[in-house]
Amino acid sequence: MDTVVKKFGEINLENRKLLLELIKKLSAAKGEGLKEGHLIKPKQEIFFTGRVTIDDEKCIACGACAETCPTGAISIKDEENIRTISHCHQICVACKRCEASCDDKAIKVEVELDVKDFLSGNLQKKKRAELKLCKECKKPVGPIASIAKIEEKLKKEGIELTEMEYCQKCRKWRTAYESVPRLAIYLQRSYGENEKVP
Amino acid sequence: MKAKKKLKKPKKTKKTRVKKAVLLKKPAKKTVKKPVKEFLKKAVKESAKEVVKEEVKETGKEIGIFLCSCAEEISKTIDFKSLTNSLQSLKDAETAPLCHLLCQEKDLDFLTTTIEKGKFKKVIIGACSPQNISKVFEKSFREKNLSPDCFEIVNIREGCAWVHENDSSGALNKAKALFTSVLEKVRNSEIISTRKVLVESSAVVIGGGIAGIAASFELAEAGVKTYLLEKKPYIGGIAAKIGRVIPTDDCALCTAFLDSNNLEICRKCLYRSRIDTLENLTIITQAEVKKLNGSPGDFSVSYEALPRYVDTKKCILCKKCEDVCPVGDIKEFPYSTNSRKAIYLPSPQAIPRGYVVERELCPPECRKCEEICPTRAIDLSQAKEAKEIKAGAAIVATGMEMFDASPLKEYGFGRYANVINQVELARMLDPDGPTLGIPVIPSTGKPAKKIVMIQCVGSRDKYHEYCSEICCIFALKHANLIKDTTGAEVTICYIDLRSHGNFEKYYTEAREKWVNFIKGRPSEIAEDPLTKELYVSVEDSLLNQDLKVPADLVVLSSALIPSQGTCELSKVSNLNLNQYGFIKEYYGKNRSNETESIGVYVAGGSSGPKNIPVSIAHAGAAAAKAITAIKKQEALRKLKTAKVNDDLCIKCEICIKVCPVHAVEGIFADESPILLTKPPKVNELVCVNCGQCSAYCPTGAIQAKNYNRESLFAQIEGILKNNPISPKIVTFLCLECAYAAMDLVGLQRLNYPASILPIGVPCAGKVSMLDIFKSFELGADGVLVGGCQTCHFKNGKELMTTQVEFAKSIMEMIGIDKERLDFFITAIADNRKFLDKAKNMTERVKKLGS
Repeated sequence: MDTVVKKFGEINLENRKLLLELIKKLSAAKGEGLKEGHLIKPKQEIFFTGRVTIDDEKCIACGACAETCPTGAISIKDEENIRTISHCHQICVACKRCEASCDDKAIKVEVELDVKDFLSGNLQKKKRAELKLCKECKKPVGPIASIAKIEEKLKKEGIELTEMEYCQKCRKWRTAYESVPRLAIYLQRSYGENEKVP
Repeated sequence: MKAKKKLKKPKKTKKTRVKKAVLLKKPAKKTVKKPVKEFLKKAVKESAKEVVKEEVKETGKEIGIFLCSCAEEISKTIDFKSLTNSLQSLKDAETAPLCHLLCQEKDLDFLTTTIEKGKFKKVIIGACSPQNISKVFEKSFREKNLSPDCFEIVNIREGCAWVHENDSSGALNKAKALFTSVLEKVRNSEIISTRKVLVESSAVVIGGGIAGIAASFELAEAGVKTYLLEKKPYIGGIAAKIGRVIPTDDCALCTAFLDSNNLEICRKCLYRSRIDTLENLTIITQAEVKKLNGSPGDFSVSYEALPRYVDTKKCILCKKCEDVCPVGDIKEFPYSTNSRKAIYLPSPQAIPRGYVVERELCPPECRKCEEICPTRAIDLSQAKEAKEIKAGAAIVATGMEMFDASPLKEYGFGRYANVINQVELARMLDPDGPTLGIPVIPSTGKPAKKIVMIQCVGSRDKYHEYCSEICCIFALKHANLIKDTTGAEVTICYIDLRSHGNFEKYYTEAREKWVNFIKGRPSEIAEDPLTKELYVSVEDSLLNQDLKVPADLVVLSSALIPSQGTCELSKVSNLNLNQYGFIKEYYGKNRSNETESIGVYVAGGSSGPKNIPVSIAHAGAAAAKAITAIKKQEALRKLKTAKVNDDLCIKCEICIKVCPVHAVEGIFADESPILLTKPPKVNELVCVNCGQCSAYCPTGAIQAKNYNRESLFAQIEGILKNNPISPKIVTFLCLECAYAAMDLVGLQRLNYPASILPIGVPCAGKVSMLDIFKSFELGADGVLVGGCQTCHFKNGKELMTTQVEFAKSIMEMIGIDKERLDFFITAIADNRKFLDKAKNMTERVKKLGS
């Protein structure tokens, strides 16, 4: 599965960029470093920037929030068998699309400004989830919790989920081999020594 | 010869000496007047000379600059020679010779001829405040058929010369800076296109209560094709159920004021005037609005109407169908003693005239009514109709209803049979109603002898904070009626009696008729389970006694709450509701008929509880507004609206949420009904160009016209560049109240330092941290932001104060002194606030240095 990470430069947030440049220029002109600040919570509902809290139990790490985030503030990184969802305070615009898109209501946005984080642009890790690895190629198939939810939903319809042991690519190969067994010879790729070709 | 009496010479007393001194002073005044008179003569001569002599050649320069000395008022302080010199060196602007009274005839002619001959596309005039003079220039441009692409006025009188009278060098530098800034704005200006908008010529009134009927009658008589949509099978609302209403104690529905066939003034009720036969009016009953959307002049109302199954044109009210109907004993109101059948007439005088069938109650194959109808008016196979009406204006008159007091368990409404509310009592007191005008005890059916009324049930408490305005009056009215008809004992438990204005007569009458009044809020109503008699426990706070008042019938004056129809309508449209659930008025002070959705008007009880005279007046006003909107048939609109750059949009939906008039519309795909997949569009007929959207857009995709980011940055740069004034305080003023406050300070000639450099923005909500920090970067020593006390665009004040709060915290962290940024909130009357802020801030920033 591809990781969903939109870089800051990819999406052109002109106004936000200009603001950060100005702040950095002014603070450099002053010559003093950043003083300690505190969290500022506006009294009024405003769309500027925010912090995200993910409920650990409800979240299934499906990645819908990262897909719908228009600026790329929520990013997903898949490393070996761990998926990390992180949030960047600098480019968040508090539009709350992630909240609207989360089916399990696991993510919440609070509008506040932490100036140090805002200027430094650090990623904050919000959720760690385990990934299921493909039997064949050991690449990630998907988060275990997501797959369990899909299984549950399909069970209600009466459908058994069988093919989630393999990743997308390997599944394609398996379906191909079922119809044309001689592909193994042409493409010089071994197909599961333990598996019997039907 | 008669001796002439010599006039006595006045004795030289102190008084006369004083008089002489006064006399001596007078000639001095005269000498002050002379120069102005002479000067005016000179000015007229000079301008006449210029019109004759001057032959303006086409110089190829785009921008024309005109300066007015306002009869020497401005040139007293500002050195115009120096100013003109600095403007001569501009490559794209031509400065015309100085005029003295640019707003008067002679100089106006000069202005228009020079623009025509010089072929200037953009015009800058340096004169008094644009807020009062721009209409004069625009009118003369229209008369001479001139249409410059861009036209700006630089305020060098109220904003400069009159407030810096003692500081002419400061005033001159500020004037130069203001001109540079406006030149940048004009260079970055965008062309404003115009569009002809066709307005639909019909109107829709939603809700057929007393206000809806009054509004649709006015609209129909004015010649507008009107559609009246009503949820019930009859029109009239609550007023149709009540027999006697205030202030005349007769029936309610005489809203027809003109008999249009004879053009005679009359007062006829719905029944006599046959409002359902008016040419321009179409009444659709049993209709539910499914969607209300669109823009002013082009609304679309989709509704679904249940069929009546009876053709009202053919029904002759012979009652044969009702006699044969097998389904009966249906009670329309909970306690009433008359019952109806499945085919019924809501009341003898109900409009529209005709029976109606409640189809769900019919037994499966029964066709008895259809067979027996002598005119074949009944058709049990009619289907639902779903239609869409295109309208130019919409009026919402969905009304109010009485609160169901069941949550107040201590009063037992809904549990005890003999506890009812005032609408049910009104029904009983209708001489044509189910009990023929006599209040009866629901459990026994006998006339009630001891009646207790309780006021403020659900009003002025934790259920609803507000006072429902009319319950005291109708409780008194009912008490008087009961005393007249039956002579039963009536007690009213009240907290305050609000019989305001002429309604005091009801209270006086009630006292004369020996109605008892107890000032206290009852704590409990207890019921004897055998006899169903009630006991009301109340503390009489005037006598300091705890009483237990026995009663046959208890009547609760419950609160008046928004009707079910109002809630449903707000869900299918973009109408906003206020904190109590009523339709939110645009501006409570003087725009109580308009809503926050432009073009949709509100009438009657749907925006707050009202009595009948007030509801009808309110409806008339709403109808007048709707008629004006529709009669402006083809409007040529100048599209000063915001625009979305599709390439830059990241579809974050923030502009849709921020816009105060719902002008930004998102196009949602079927697959993605909640999240946007395409950039939104700005509805050009609704956008007011306030700029709040552009302050919150993270990419700068949506920009207000002529106030986009580049233009604003260029203006800030222009006002600060090469400006020797110290300190420099860039002042963002909203072009509504804050700019007017600055003008008023100028009109009163109150002086403040020339450090204040004003830049006008459409709304204070447009000012964001980006503008504030850019000003600091370009060399400002301080920034001041001004907004209106009641923002003309909903939330501008709150948005501005939050941005300033954020900016201050960031400034604190990066080491810029917080005192360099400040804001003020003003209405025109508070202009001294601006004056004090201007003076104090200059002092503070001076001390801080640069």
